[in-house]
Amino acid sequence: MEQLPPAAFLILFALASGEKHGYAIMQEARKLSDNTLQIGPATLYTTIQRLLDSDRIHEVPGPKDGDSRRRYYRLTNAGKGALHAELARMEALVKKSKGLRLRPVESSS
Amino acid sequence: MREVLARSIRIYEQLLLLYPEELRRDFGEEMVLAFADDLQQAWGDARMAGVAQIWWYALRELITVALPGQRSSPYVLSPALAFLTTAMSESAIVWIGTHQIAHVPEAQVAAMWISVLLASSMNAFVAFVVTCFYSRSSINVLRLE
Repeated sequence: MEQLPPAAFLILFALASGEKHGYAIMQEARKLSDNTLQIGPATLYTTIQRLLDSDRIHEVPGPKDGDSRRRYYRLTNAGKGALHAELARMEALVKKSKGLRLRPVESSS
Repeated sequence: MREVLARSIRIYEQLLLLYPEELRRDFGEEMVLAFADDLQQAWGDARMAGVAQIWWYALRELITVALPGQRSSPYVLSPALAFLTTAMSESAIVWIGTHQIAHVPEAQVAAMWISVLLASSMNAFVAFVVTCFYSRSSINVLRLE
């Protein structure tokens, strides 16, 4: 399976905890990356468009009392599969790095 | 909502014209909503510094998302480049002036950022007019030949 671009991975990761609208996805993705990946509206919706086209996410109805202008998105089975595959790939890399005794650089703070 | 936020949202709505038509048609309204939410959050957290940061993201996305999607259209490319070069060079001057040289009251900083946006927009408009003029000239030359 092809490697996911960072923004696509974080959007799928953000949706793993349940359906969300665009801005909530953007906030969650920033939080997950510790603000290292600065996702703005254009990056967000370009990536959402690609994920919809590849059937990794789909649109679902929002709450009845919610803002009707906001669309909600949910992971599909293909999206869950892509997310798990990416996490497995990362885990394998971490295992290999441990085998080589490589360690992340500790933050000075 | 402060006037600066309302103006920012109106400018962002206009900047959406630089994005590919399909993205604008399918997600334009949601992009503006997300930008407005982000702006309000940033204003609450850090006032003008927060707003400047959201604009920095938005301008960066014009290069990374809008321009690659519109690279075949000189009517979009040349105004966008004019806007970005002016915005970035003037932003650097304002930032250095307000952070390194003198302490400037918040209201004046806001006015400076608005003037940066106005100058950048004006340059983009001039670039658009010039592009239209020269495109028509070259069409006429072709016709004469």
